Amino acid sequence: MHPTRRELLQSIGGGFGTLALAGLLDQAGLLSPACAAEALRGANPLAPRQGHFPGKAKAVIQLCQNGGPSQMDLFDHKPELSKRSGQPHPEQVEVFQLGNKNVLLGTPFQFARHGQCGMELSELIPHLAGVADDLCLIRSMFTENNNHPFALNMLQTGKTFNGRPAMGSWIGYAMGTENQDLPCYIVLRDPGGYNTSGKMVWSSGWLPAVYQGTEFNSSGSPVLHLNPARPISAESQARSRRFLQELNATHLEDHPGESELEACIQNFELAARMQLTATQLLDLKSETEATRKLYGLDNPATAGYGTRCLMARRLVESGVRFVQVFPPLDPSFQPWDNHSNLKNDLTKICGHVDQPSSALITDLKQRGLLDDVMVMWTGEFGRLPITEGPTVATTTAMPSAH
Amino acid sequence: MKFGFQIVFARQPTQSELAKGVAFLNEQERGYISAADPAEKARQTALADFCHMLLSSNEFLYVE
Repeated sequence: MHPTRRELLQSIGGGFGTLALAGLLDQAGLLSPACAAEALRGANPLAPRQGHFPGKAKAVIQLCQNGGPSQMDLFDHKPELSKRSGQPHPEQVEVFQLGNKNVLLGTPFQFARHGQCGMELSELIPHLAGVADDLCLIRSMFTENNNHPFALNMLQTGKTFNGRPAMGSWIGYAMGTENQDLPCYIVLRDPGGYNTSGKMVWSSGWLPAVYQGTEFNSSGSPVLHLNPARPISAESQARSRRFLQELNATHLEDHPGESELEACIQNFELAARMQLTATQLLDLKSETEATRKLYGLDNPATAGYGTRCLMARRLVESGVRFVQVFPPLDPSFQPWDNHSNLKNDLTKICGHVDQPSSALITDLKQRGLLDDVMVMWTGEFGRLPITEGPTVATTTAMPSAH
Repeated sequence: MKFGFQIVFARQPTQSELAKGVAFLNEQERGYISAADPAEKARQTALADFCHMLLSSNEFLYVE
């Protein structure tokens, strides 16, 4: 029988080519024997795997505080800066924002020591201060770019330019995921919109798309594009799926040994399982009143971000490898970019984020999950010690910067 | 149904596929009729489902 044009393309495009590629990579020593076998088998890319080195953490929750939280108003007490507030900086600081007068600006907020460790934290984050002994505060971070989008790239991918895989994607690639009914990397953002860099922040770059961040809604249906646009009864949907499986099974019979086809079928089945699992998992009604209160779900200021933090706990609890949580888009879409009205805006975003962030630590710890879940509270960069607006010495108006 | 196979897969359905397709169509149509829709509309909705499944199939989506 003559092959059709389509069949001919199929056999030279994928089947033979894939085998040849895996063989060539293997010859070049680019694949370990195990990897080569895996490539030939087309093994489940999300199967749980051990990393190269033993690690304590099984899952990561990244609280991604975009906008550049001001370290000297939150985590890094600078008494000397307060003392010299209003004086010229002894050296010329790089002029980045218009209006930089090279004049030092101390923090308008009070600091105090907290916990047995005596961690110095600002008055804006009293709830985080309450879990000071469970925190590891790293004050020595460094970035290469002072623009938000590039610095966010740097934070997520290690490079300032677009196009490399985010850390959640790398972790999914390296370790797979424990729960095969859910994606390995889940993103929870403010339903009102995106961060500065949008979806770039959870891109899988050149890694397979299966490792990119999957957005879950924190209000309404949790999984985007998973529920049908028009209502379809469960029975008619089940009949359609059954017919689709029949079509695919016939196709697979004609292409024996095509493991990627089996993977495609598995993907459809994952989507169907997700409809159920995700909906049940993210129904927060089963949480106790005490837990809901802990996360601030009873308060409009904390309810949105609190819901996302609570969802994050439920997701890692059920075996999701990496969850990325974004703050509310208030006071702006760069919620921690507060240099034009420091006192108001930083106070506002701390009011949204402090309590739920701390609640997450407390809740994880109570459930014994903090032992193997790493929570990261990250910003893309810190702030300069100078003012860019009216100086403290010349006006009573709130100086701007940090 | 044959027309759908020809457009989506550039081939005619096998006897077995045709039989499965007919079975699906009839079953689906019966389901829609009972949901207070007139027979004409139920037939159309069932055919639309059939087309959706062709377009969702691996044979259409992936060149292996």
